Amino acid sequence: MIIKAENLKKVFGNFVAVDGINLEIPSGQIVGLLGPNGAGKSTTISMISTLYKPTSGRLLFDGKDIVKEPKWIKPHLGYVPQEIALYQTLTGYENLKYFGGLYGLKGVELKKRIASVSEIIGIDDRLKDKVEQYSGGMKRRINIGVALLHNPKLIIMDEPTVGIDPQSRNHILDTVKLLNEQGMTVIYTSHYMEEVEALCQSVYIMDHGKVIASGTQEELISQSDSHTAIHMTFDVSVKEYLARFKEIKNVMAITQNTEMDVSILASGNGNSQKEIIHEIMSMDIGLVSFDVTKPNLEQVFLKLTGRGLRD
Amino acid sequence: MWGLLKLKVRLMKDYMVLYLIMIGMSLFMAGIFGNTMGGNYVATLALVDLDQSIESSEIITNLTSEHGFNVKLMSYDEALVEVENRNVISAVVINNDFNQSEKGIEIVQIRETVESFQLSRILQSEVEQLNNIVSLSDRILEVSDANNVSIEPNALRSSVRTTYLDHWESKKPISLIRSVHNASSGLSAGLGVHYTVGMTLFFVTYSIMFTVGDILEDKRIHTLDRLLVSPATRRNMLTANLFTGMLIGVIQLVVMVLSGQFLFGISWGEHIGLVLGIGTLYIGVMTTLSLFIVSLVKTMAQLGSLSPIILTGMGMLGGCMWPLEIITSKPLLMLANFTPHKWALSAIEGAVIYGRIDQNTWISVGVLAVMAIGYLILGERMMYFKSLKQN
Ligand SMILES: Nc1ncnc2c1ncn2[C@@H]1O[C@H](COP(=O)(O)OP(=O)(O)OP(=O)(O)O)[C@@H](O)[C@H]1O
Ligand SMILES: [Mg+2]
Repeated sequence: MIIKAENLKKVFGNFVAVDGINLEIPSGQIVGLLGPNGAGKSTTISMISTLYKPTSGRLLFDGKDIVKEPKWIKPHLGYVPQEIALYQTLTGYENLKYFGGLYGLKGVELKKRIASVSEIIGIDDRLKDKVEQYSGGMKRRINIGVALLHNPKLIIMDEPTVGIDPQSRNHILDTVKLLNEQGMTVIYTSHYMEEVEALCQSVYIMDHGKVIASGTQEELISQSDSHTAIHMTFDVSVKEYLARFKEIKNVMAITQNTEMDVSILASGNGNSQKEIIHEIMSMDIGLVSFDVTKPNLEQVFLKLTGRGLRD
Repeated sequence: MWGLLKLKVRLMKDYMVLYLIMIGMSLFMAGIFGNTMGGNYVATLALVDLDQSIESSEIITNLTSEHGFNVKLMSYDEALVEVENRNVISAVVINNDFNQSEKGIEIVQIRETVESFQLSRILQSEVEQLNNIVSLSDRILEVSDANNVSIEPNALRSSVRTTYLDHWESKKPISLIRSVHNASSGLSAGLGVHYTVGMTLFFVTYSIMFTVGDILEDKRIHTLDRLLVSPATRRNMLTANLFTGMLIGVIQLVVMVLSGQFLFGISWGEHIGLVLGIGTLYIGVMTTLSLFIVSLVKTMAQLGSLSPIILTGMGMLGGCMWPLEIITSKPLLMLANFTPHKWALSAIEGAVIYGRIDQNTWISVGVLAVMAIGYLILGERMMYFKSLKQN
């Protein structure tokens, strides 16, 4: 475990922002922290990155106490703040150079690191421009790059894709995957379910300062008792076939939306919907189109809290 | 630590315009004040000579030839009109038998100014000097009369005068005090120094305050978070901020000392080390004071509105704008003691204008050092407290 949190709590005044959470983050994984606004994600990772002192609880990095020994931990930690935290009047290169300098990098070594980081974040052609002239996506990329210079063991990213175009977002997601393949452990915070689904091997779902569920995506989905939904449209009225649909294996419930339009909920493992579709097609009753909605973390969250992630 | 220092020094570039304005302002103000009140400007005064004696004419001659005043002789009534119309800085009335009576010389003026203050000091010392010469001559006459030696009184007086002046001129303590009045450019030398030093001390505080306050900017743009997660410690950050504050302060000081020498013709002479030393100590105080003030506010905008009030107030109280000698209010003079400006100014002026490096100089140094340490402790504690609270 690179990070272990036990009963971690943070109170601001009399507001409990993080309410006694437990985390176990294994080395070499991408771990997601998913939750709506104000869930306590930033507060949690601010404690891990030594910015905030926990009100109570224990927080270990490679077995060492983060609060007591920040000196040993800081050099191995990369932190990407939720906001763009760059000197806008300096160039991208200067930002990389000076922040790298804070980690004792200098000379040829620093130059090499800047070259490799700017290649990873895909921004080497604009390094000589001032950050204030960058687009939102480029700023986000530099914001990440600055945290990579000292080649940390653990990188903590707080919503690194907020407010940017899809192209930059995809690039960032690829970057995260690449870093992980190179052995870096990543804590990835987001309220975009798709990002967490695409990246993370395991997920913690937070709400109101508490971890309300955790595990791999499959575990979360099966725990939450969510189901695949199949939506079908026919060119005839399907009323008379409904009874036959119901008899197909793994069909849990059927809702008729309009005369020629039904939704079927499938139980069982991830492939049960294929069999259902196959059965219905073989009945040859004029299926025009269908689409499948697999259960996702959004639905898990909805089940757990009765609210959407981005209400 | 080095990485952090390099970063902070690089960021100073963003404040370049502020620094240039501050240097420009201190040059401009020192030039304006130092020159209109000195330099080619000659203060005119009305003189009413009711005594009409050799002594009174000696004083009048000295006012013109030695002290560089433009003296207009006139009647009392005419003089009053001239004062009222502000054609003259003041009217000097030399009463009959002035050197033997309480109010021998009277000064009529609308209000106290630097020149009229200097004038009253000059007259004071002229009368004292005259009285010394007269009483010395009288005593010699008495003795010689008693011994039946006849001496021509006027010749004696003139000889006594020459001896007296020669004698005192060569004795250090007195000749130095007199050098204020005897300086070739009259009033301007003292004022030139005063305004150059005063304006430097005043304007340098702004550069320092905003340089130290850069930590607030780091907070605003969230780079503070990056600094805090890096291996740089809070103490490193504080040190780096104090260092840059001191750095810009010392640069500005050196620029002004050089400008004083080459633009305003001030000769710092052998006191250059003392000027730089005390100036640096003062900059140390203002840097730590800035740290303290910065720890009290939350944003750069708050600092921007608070600091001019504090800094201008302190500068005015401390005598940067006008010499404290013309202030008579006791409470104001009391308050002046709490400003580092007063101590730095009086030590530097004492040395450069009056050539005086004595106990008072070291008291000033001591007070400045205590202030620097006090504000450092206070500011450091506050910053620490604040960062704990914020976290
Ligand atoms: N310094 C602070 N002082 C007081 N309250 C705070 C502070 N920081 C955070 N909070 C509160 O703690 C709660 C959790 O905030 P946090 O920033 O951790 O949420 P988050 O999950 O990161 O949300 P978002 O997705 O909006 O970034 C919020 O209600 C917030 O108002
Ligand atoms: Mg957040």
